[in-house]
Amino acid sequence: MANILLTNKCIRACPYCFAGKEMALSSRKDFISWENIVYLADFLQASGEKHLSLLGGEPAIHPQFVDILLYLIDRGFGVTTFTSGVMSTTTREELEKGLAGLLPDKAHFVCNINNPSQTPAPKSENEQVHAFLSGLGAWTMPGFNIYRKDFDLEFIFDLIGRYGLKKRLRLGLAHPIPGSENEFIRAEDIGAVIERLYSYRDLFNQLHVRPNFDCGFPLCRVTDEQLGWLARLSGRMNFICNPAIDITPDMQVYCCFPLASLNKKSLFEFDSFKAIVAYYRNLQACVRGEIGGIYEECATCVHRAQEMCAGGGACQLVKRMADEAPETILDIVDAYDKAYLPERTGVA
Amino acid sequence: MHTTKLICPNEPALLDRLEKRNLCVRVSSPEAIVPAANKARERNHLICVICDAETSFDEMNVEESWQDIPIALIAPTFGKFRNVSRNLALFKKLNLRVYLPCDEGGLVGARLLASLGIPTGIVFDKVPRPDWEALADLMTYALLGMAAHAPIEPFQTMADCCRQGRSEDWGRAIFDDPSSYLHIDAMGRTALSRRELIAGEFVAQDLSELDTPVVAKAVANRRDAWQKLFLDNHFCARCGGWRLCRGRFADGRDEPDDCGEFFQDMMDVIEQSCKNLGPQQPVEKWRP
Repeated sequence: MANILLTNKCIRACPYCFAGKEMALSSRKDFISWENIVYLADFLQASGEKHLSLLGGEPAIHPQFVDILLYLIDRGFGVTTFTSGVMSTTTREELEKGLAGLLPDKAHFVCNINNPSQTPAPKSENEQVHAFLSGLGAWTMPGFNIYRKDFDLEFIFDLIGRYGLKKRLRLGLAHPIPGSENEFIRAEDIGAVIERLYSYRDLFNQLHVRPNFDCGFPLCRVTDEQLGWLARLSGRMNFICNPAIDITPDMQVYCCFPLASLNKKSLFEFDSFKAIVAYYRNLQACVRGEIGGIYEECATCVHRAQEMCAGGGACQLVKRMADEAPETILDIVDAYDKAYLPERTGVA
Repeated sequence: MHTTKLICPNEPALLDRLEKRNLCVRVSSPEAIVPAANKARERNHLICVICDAETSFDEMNVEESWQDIPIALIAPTFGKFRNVSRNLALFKKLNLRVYLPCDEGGLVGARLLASLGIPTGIVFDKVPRPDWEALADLMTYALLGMAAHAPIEPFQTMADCCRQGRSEDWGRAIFDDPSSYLHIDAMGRTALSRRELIAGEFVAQDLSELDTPVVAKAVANRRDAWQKLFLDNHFCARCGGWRLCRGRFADGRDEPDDCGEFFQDMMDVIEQSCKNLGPQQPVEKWRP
């Protein structure tokens, strides 16, 4: 699914932010233009895409956020907006008014919420998040980014009940940014994170909340008991790491935020969205061919060979390469562009 | 049935004097569209109702009763998409073409509406100097856009003429070509353009003169007026974009601006579009 970044600006300053470096560098154009929105809608439609995501920064900062959302819905896309919920009263009210009468399958929100006691934010920000959830809770799935081993999830269950949020919880590991120093979960700590998550199983069970794993969780760090619980509750599990494909306001594309520095391209170099996905998937495969996975045992892991597990996030691998041998990653990208690009994607 | 189309105001006394004519009736508010169409159809053939509204497009009260009426809706501004979105399903049912000014908001609005299947047009005379670069961007979208969309005038008419090797004044796409449209005021006086009508520059003083050689000669003279640009060695006559523009922007300019580059670009785009014809939606709606 394509992620369209409406803006590079964000309101919050999360310690784990894996978009921060890219956001800081990408100040060339603050907001995406209508011309680019129409081009992207055409491009994705011609590529057969039915769904897309709106991201930022904080997408709701875009002065035409509500209009863009409604336009993309009118173009026939199912639209997921990733938001912090921090937005002006005017924007929130416009959003509520704009979505009134629409079926919830046309648009939904993933509201990434920080625990106010572990990741303090100004009181006004928290009030805005609550106001957002109060008005648009039925459209919203909560999201939580894990950046410390002692994370506390209890508050999310309270919000789900209080505001009638969707009973699914997006759980993301805070990823490292190659060449930067954000807070993230290290490979050796992932087992402890999953164990802590499992300690909330009674709350998940009682409230029928399904955990949705975002990319980068390795299968081997989940015990059979935990796996059984997750499978019963969620139905399907995800231990993969595929290119997310982020598209910036100035029409550049990259694999995902943490890998934004890994061979950014212009969207106009590609004939279709499938070609972009193929390009970055194959590039990731080249990187994985060099290192394997985030653990030593990934190299010989049968689950990785069977593509049930990606061997952790590619960003963890690139971070390691960037720290230990930065020239290697450049060599891989260079060789890939020369040898694979035209052949595998049809892109000249 | 007379072949020339007449653009006249919604004046019952005037309409009663016309018979078996092709009429475009001009109204100034959306509420007048249905009565004007009904009145025009009593004795004449209605080409369309031209609604030159003062209200922003997004705030217009659209009515189900417009469904069997060809309408040219000229709006001063596009407004907010969120308001347009609320009426989108109805807009799509109507035989409607939305004309927007050649400014930033108008160009964006035309692109959005066209991408959603609503035919649009750009009105050039509401801004003193078009942003030719932005216009070129819209023109490229109109003729080469990768997904199906509705036509955007006058680009569509210009491209169709060019592709078919016809050398016509594309002004008819925006009701500004006396070979296609004559403009009549409430008193039955005739002008060759809307601008001349407002300025009181008439070629006939009464409806009875409409079909006389005087009017026909005035129309013919206007049609051939481009020749004067060559006789005067005007810079338009030496411009690479002449084949498409035909000196339409020559008036009042003593030096070339970016219009020449725009029309040359457009010829390239038309040539390219001929190679991959097909993205436009077959919109079965009235065309100017």
